[in-house]
Order: sequence, then C-alpha cells, then structure tokens
Amino acid sequence: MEIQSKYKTPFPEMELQVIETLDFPGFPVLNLEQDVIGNKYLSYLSSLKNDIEQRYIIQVSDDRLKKIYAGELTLKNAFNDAENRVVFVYEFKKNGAVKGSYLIPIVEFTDINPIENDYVVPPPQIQAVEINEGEFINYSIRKGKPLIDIYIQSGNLVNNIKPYAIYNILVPTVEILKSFFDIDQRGVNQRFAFSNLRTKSFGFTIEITEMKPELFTVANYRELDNLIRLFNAREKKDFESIVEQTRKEKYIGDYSKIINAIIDNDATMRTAYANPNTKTVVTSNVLDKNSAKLVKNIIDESFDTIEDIENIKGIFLDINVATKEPSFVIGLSGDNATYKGKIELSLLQKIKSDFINSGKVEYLFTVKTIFHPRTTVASEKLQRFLIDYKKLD
Amino acid sequence: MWKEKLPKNCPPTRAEKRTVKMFRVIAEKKLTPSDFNCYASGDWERYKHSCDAHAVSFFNTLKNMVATYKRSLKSDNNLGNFIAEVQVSEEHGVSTFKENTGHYNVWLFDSSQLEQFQILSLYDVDGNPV
Repeated sequence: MEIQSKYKTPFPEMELQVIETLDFPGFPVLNLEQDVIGNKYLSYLSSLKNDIEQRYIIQVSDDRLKKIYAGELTLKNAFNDAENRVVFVYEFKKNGAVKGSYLIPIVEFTDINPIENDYVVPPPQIQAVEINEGEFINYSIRKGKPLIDIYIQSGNLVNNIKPYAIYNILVPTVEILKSFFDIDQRGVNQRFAFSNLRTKSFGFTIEITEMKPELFTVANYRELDNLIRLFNAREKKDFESIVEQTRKEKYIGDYSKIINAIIDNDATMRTAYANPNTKTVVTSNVLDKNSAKLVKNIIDESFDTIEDIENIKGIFLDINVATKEPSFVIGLSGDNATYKGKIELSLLQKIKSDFINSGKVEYLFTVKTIFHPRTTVASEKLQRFLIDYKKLD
Repeated sequence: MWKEKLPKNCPPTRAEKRTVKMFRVIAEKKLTPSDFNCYASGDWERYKHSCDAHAVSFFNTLKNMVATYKRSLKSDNNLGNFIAEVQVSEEHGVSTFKENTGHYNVWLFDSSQLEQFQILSLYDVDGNPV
C-alpha cells in the first residue's frame, strides 16, 4: 500500500527484531517484535512485493498482549486503539534494512486499517514448564508433608484463570485423592490444603496432612503412585492394572472431567509428588490434548447391553413410591433370592390404587433386566425394572 | 540431516513424522525445486532465527489452501498459479499441524528429493480441477 509522504518519519527508525512469528502460513502475517530496550510490538504484514515487506506496527504492553492472546481484544481494535496512539509503517528490505518508515496517528489509521474484523491472533506456543525437583523436594521437607504439584497450561489461561481450571481440573483432582485415600467430605479440610498457587497459566500444590506424619505409610504413598500411574495411563492395560488396585470406581468419572477439560481447552497438565522421607520426586508424563483423546476413548468405552424380560413368582418385600425413582424389592417364591430395582413410572398409578399387600400375597412379576458388560474402567452392572405384576389366585 | 540450516531448537519437539495428503500452491503445472522453498530460503535476514520461516507450508484441505491464497493476494503476495495435492510422507521430513487453520509446517530432510513428490490432483487457485 502506498503511504502518503506526509506521514514519513523525520527521525531514525527503531531497530526491531522478530522474536516470534505468531501467524506464518508460509509468509509472515503477524510477528511479535522487540526493540533494543525490550519494548514489544505487534507487526502485521500489509504488503509483500518486489522483495519489500511493508508492515503495520504498534507498540504493545504485556497486559494488552495477554488480552489479545486471550481473545478479549481483536487485533483490528488493538491497532485502532493503539496504546501510544500511533501506528508505525515500516518497509523492510531482505537484508533487514528499513527502506521507508511512516507514522500514522490512529485517528487516521482507522480509515485504512486492513485487518479483518474476525482476525484471530493465534496465541504463541506455550513453553512447557518443568517442575524444579530440587525446589519441590525442599518445599516438601520444609512443610514436613507429602506434596502433589499440578501445573496446567493453556492459551486461554495466559491472561487469567478460567473457571474450568478450578471446577474441571482442581476439584476433580481432589475428588480422585479423596477416593484413593478413602476420605469423606468431612475430612477434606483436615487432610488437604492448597499452597503455592501460580497464575502464570495455573499451578497449585496440594498438601496432604496426617496428624502424625509417621502415619503416612507406604500404603499411602502407593495411592500417590496410583495417581501418577492414572495420569500416565494411555493404554487399556494401564487402566486395568489401576482399577485392580483401587477400591472404588468413582474416580474414573472425576478423571473423565479432567480429560474433557484438557481436550476442550487444548491444555497440558503435569503432575508430580514429593516424598519428604525418601527425598524423592515422582513425575508424571505430560497429559496433552492428543494423549487425553487416547484416554477418553478408553474411558468412554462401552459394549452393547443385554436385555432380558422374565416372569417370576414371588412376594413384594418393599415398595418405595415416595421418591423420585420409585424402587421395589421382591422375594422369589420357593427361594431365598431377592430382586430389587426401579419401578417403571407407568406402573406407579396401578401400584398406588391396588393397595399392595406386601410380604403376604403372591404375585406373578414381569421384570426387565439390563446387563451392562464390564469395560476397562467399570465393572459389570445389572439394572432391574418392574414393568408389570399380576396377583395369583 | 535437514534441507535448510535450521535455527536453534528447530524443529520443535512436537513436530512428528506423518504420511498425509496436503495442498500447496505451486508456480506451474509441473513441480520444480523452487516450489518447495521455505520463506527463509529467500535470504530474509529478519527471519534467520524463525523456525516457522524454515518450514515449507502446506494445508490439510483445498478449501483452506484457497482461503490462504486469497488472503496472500490481499497483501500483494502472489504465491503461485496452481494448487497441487501431494502426499507428504515420513521420509520427507517432520511436521506440526494447527487444527484451527489446517496449516502444516514441514521441515524437510536433506534426503528428500523432488522426485519423491507426486502431484495427486491439480487445481487452479480458485480450487477448480485442472
């Protein structure tokens, strides 16, 4: 684009260095650049011909840059409302020299701003944070307790902490720990505490407290190993081995929340725990979107259910129609076996009007049974529904 | 090992070998070595430290390639005259992929030869078969 000579700068050009190519589909659309004293600039390609790159450039503060990366400010508006009220236009030659430089006040630039309204600035590739094992173990020794450190990184956590990081990662992690350590809600505040919260992306440390530290046994550390193994599991056999060693399956639902949050937000998660007694740190592999997708396939695995309808003779042992999901228990005639399950809602009115005589009168029950086969992470399950009954003479 | 002299920490560790059909704008109906030049090969001094500038760009779909071509025209930058669908395989190099734009950066191995690439389909820059 031809720039009017009245905008030509009368002073020497800044020395700008490309520090990151933010949008580079084969040619440098958007760069993050820096001058010699460390000020940052966003530079947008306006023209590339005859071996000359013409770029629109604005100075940008770190806070504003974070807003742009987070999608809270469009690039077009960032240029229209440049912080120092001017847009630089530089024409770079191949050897990096500036052929021409211009300065346009933003009040005049808004009329020629070529940036599309919906242009989305891709956030820079996040540099993975490595857990400093030495610092972590020293922190654990100072605290005198085992610690778990979790670090979540995502483009949408650069500017602030989004609720998903709390509700779908931090809280489910605590739920998994409650499940592994068999702690109910009443014990949570005594046993767990958070410290060392970091807001560059989102990091937190979970402190695990025993009234007497020596009571934190080898078995407890095995549960921490299980946590790391869970976060490292990528194949069916990994999950089978963890499920074998854990008492409850509820944590799989909590882990599923974490997995979905990582996929939906293109996040990465790193976990480690420190044992102050052995002065060791155990670190998990990085869980990223691709590995989370592998995990999701295993967790969401399901097989066809098997349905069966049977007629059985027996007596009502219990009926509860006052709840949201009415239930029944029946005793089978000539047998000590019982069947229990839910009552089909369509049968409710009949039950209420029949004034059932439980425990004495024999009925012919029609019961539908649904069998859910075992999956990698869930044991087999039987569901029974009472769909009809008839009084026997 | 690499076709270009790459800057430090390039390609990124997340780059991986893959065999995928990709789209790229080329100059003429037949492939020539210059069709696989990266931006840095044009001796742009300011990009000698940019890893992206040392990669060859491809797109996952014809639609994304056409959109990028049209975008380049807005900045007076004519990438070429045709769009070729080619198979890029593990022996050619390593690549990263951006899901939101469908863009591949491919860092070519020194051993990758022009003869290894074949045009599977050819289109004009509007995406019509040629």
